[in-house]
Amino acid sequence: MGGAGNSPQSDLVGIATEAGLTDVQLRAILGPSVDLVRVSGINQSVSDDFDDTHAANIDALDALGRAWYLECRAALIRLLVAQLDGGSQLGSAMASQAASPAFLTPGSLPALSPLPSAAPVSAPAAAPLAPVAGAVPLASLNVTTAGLAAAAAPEAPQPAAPVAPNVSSGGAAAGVPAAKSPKAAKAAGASDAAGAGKDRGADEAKAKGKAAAKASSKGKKQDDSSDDEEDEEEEEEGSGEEEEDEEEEEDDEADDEEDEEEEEEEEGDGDEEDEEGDDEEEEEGGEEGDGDGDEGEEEEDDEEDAEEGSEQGGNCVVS
Amino acid sequence: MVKYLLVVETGGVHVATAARVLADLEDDLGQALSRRFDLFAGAGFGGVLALALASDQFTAHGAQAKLASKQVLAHVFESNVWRRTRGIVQDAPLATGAAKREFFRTAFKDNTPLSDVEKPVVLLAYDIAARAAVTFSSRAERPAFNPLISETLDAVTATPIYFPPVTLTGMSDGLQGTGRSMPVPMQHAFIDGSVVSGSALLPAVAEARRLWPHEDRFVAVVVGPGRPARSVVVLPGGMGGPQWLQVRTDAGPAAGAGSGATARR
Repeated sequence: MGGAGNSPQSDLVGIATEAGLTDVQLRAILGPSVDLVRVSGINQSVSDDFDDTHAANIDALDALGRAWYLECRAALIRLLVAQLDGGSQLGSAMASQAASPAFLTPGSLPALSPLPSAAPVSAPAAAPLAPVAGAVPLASLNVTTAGLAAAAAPEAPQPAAPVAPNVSSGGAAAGVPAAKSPKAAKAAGASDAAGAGKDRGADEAKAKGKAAAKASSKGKKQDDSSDDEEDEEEEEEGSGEEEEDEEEEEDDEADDEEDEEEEEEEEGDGDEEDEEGDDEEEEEGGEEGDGDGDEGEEEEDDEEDAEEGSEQGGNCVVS
Repeated sequence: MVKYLLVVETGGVHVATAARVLADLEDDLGQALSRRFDLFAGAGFGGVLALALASDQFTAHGAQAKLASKQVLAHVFESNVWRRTRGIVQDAPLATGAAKREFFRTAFKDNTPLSDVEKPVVLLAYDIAARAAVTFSSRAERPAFNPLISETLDAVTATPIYFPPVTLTGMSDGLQGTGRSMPVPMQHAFIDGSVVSGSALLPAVAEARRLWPHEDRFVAVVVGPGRPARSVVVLPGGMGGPQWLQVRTDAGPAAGAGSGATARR
């Protein structure tokens, strides 16, 4: 599959190829009146050894869905809410925010109303999404997150709209701010995670507990990173996270309970963790491995994923 | 006025990922997705989520819990050692499909024909008799087949290797080029349309343009696994029918044991 996969242009190719078309032909068929957001990539993220029928792996797929949603959240909201008639529960305030350039900056999404079935909200606004109940860490399940690696990759300045040169971007680009860069996606996703964490159903409310308290401090850090000196702060964050990793390793040895808590946190913040892992593997040749005892093949896969990810630009495509 | 289309791609148990994405989206929108989107489309098990939402019988959260949970997927993909053994030589599908069929009957209000589904829905299938990809549409003008919801889902999820084809009874359209003046009963066997395409985006857009010819704006949200990424290794034995199907459906090791080709990354 190589470089073909989830890059903006090849993603359209993915749909087009099966219909015997090129991406340009597909875009021509869709016409300028069709805006497209595609959230995909599971097949790019599943290794050969991934047993689809293994129950625990279905939990991993669930957790992966959460990670991808966070990656695509801002784009989805922009298309589904920003152009609405204001009748949605998110209201006109969100619609007007969505029309401003600041829409995709961290913390710009308003807190969400809980669904009727959701548990009462008491977590701080900065709390991240609760981990998916019963999920096992992705790293242990032969699941890799190619797109997340892309979001974490160091960036050169990027064009505003992630569409192929020959692919028309439809009407969305005209009515709303330019599509986000992977960095913006990551930032928005991380921040969005905080807001959405309030709104998960009762089944996840228990899982919040300790993790939410810890995460709130992380969330503050993410909010802090929203000012103008993003790059510098990202570097600082990066080193901070590395320190955290070291601490986590120490904790692993020292305290089993801590270990469990961190596992929960890892699930909730799978985004960040996977990104860090991929980055380090790119730089250091995958020293950390995946901890699943299948290191050789996994490392190879992850490296491929990281390469693909940096080419592809993530699991969220807006066209 | 904008029309919103939701397309859920095929993916077998990978539909669990799409279900999570949709549940989270529903949380954010604060509104059932069946109310947010105007048209739903799907292929394979993505079609189950699409039809569940279109029928307004499930919220996205409900669909995730009742149609795409670990327990449900394990049940639907029921198999046993004997069938797995037979599946290795492709003497039979890995599962009988009985559990799947019964599950759809009980999970949905089963007396609802596809044409009565609340919102427009388009589901991709492959008609073995016609040797062609077909779509089941809840808003078809003169549908040759108008099966119940459960029958429709049984047909569009009949993934080769895993499940047997599903036979449906319909009426031929006697007015279109057959020379007959009256429709006649017919039986066709259907399988998962993802053998042709994993995405129902194009049928969805086509149907939307047909239903709303004066609309000038559509927003399509596509959720799914993307293109198969497991690489294909062709062994010296070559590729017979089962091996070809295995590659086409991107079946994993569970289905591929002993085959002439294995799908590898």
